[in-house]
Amino acid sequence: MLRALYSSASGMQSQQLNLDVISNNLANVNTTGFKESRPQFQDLLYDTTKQAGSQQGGGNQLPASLQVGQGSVPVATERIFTQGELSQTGGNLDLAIQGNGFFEVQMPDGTLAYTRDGGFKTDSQGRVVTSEGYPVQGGFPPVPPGTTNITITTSGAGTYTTSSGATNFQVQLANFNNPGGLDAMGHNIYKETPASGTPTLGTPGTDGFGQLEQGSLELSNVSVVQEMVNLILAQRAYEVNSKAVQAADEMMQTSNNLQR
Amino acid sequence: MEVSLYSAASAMNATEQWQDLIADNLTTASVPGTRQREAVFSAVPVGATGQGGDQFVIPSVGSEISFKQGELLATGNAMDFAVEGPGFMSLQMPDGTKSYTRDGQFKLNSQGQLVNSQGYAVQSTGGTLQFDPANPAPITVTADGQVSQGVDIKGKMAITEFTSPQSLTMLGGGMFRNDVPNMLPQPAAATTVRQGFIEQANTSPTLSMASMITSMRMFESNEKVMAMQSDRMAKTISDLSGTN
Repeated sequence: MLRALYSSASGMQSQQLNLDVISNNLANVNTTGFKESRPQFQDLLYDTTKQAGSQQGGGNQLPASLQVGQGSVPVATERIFTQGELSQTGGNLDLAIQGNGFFEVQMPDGTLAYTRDGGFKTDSQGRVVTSEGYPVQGGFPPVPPGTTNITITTSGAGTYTTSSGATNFQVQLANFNNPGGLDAMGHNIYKETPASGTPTLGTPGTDGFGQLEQGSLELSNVSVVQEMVNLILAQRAYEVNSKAVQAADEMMQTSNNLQR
Repeated sequence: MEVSLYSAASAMNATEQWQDLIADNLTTASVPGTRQREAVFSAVPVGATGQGGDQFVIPSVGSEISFKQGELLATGNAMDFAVEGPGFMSLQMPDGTKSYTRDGQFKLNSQGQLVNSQGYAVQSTGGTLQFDPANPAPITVTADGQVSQGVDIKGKMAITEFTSPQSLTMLGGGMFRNDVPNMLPQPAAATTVRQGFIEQANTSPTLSMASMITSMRMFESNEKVMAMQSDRMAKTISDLSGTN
């Protein structure tokens, strides 16, 4: 009875985490470049009273084990890197990646981080920076003063046009073997981990790298309909686990009331 | 000697103390930085032996503080700090000793010191953190604890870790004191400071409710044992004394 109680309580805990992840996804439905998370659960160790295959005497074997589980536990929140839809903004430094790849940015402590949020701006020195002010690596030279036009093609060939001439450059993207293994730091930034692998730099449009779309931003890949369905499932799972807790409680009460 | 009666009574007492711990955890579940306490049961020999020389035992309850990381809540308030990892922030007590806390709801007092809600000053590695009260520049704290007001670096927040945090004495108000003579505070190795966040109590309401149900049913079953023993004694007395 106690095992039923604690198994159901662990089930309720798991659904709470499920709800936390769903709420985070829904809160970020308008965040540029956001990638949704999906929680993964696994069952806990089983209490094996009888082992299948154990000898029963007379050459007979037990065909099935007697195993009782102990509940569930969350094991990972998987980041889903599907393409988000593109939204036209018209900003000439707004870039969206159509396909795989990340923009490389430099953090204030000197380390490199990666992002899908291509809403870039220029700072006072003309460097191309993210909305937080992190300088974008990957081939962007500082924008000279008096620049009249900035064009970046789908394969990343960029040109700044000023009245006195043009500066050409090539944008590079970074890609990982396992983007799901990246560490989310908040601020739309991801950091490399041993699980994600080291980044490989490449030209957009080649070798599995996505193409660039100037004047667009990549919207969040959260599907509101899917998340609402997950929300309903999490809520009903929580409720049904609470019923199991109540049932275990009532059974304990019945066994206590056997005496008179 | 009515061993079973007193055994049942001590078990009821133990479950009652367990209930008290659970209730305490639940009431402080809304206070940031609270560390929940878990009941630890051990067996105490009663001194009576049954058939075959088995020792009868009764349960005794102790409590152990759980230092599981609580969830971080983003408040956006620059004076709210959360510790991520096993470390503690240090406060100066009025009697000169240091206390340790995970509750980072601080504010600036009129003398420019960062204090908690009881007025105890937050320590840096070189003494009390002192800010300039006239300077309107915002106070920023980096992940490794370096504190600056505007562009002036004011020091490094003292974050200490202990090898055995369960041995710390709970002072109340979210503060702990180190009374273990051999346990020296160590500088933080695996802890980061998050400004603008508070760490919520590490209570789990669902598990607390499950424990509460368990303790209540255990209390009830022991109460039935006592009732049964009482009936047995009453029946013995009435049968043997000849009165009906």
